[in-house]
Amino acid sequence: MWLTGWGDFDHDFAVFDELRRRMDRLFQDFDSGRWLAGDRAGLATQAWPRANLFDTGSDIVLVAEVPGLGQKDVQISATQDALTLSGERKAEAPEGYSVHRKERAGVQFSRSFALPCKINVEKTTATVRNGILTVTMGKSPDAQPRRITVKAQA
Amino acid sequence: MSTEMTRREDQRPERVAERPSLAPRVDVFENKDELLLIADLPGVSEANLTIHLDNEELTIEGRPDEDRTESSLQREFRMLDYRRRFVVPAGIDRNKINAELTNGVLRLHLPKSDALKPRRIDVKAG
Repeated sequence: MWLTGWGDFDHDFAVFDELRRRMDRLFQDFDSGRWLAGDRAGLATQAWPRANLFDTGSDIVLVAEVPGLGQKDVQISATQDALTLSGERKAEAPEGYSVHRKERAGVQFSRSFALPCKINVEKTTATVRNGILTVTMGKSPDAQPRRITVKAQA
Repeated sequence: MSTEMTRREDQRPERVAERPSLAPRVDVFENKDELLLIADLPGVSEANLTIHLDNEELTIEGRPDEDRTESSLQREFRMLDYRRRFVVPAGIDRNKINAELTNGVLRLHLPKSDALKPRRIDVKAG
């Protein structure tokens, strides 16, 4: 019966890909220090979405991986010192299709980030492009880096 | 002496620039008309996605936007290239393969050739 043949789809590479993905994740977790937090269960307990936080001097920038989500699918709320992302990502099988492989997970998420300094909520903007969310938060004036002039003493 | 092993090696040329890459997460679905492959490729735009079909081997490669260079306060992922290969089963109509990329998610349609589609056979009354 020909149907059984479809089960072998990408059989050759599947094992290596899985191994590599686990290795990748191991390194990423190691980089982020999450392995210390005892996150051994992997996927299920991993915070979603994964995010990086940058300090550009005048802004705090959060960059998160949100594949499949558009502008309307992410809710963002900000206070002076915390940012929360929430929403839902759907990844179920389309209707009428059977499943051969399921690695992408659907998730209902709400994730908060404590910010390292006070931000100006009015000066916070967000964009989603190709599944990458970028939230730019202007620092409040007293958190801005300041140039200090050194006076010569007579 | 050319063994099976060395010959196989010859067919796999080495890459000039070896960049670290990540295997994207993939779902594979099937209905009576097609195989549907869905892959998460956050950060990849259409211009930076390559889908290559060579004999039986389908390769998906994507290069995301450059990582930010500012100092990071917290880092959970890196913008690495995506690369993953699949063996395409026989019976796929190669000329009709098509793909969409939306919000960093690739949907690759691999239509079955007509010969493989289930067909209803009418039973005639004798």
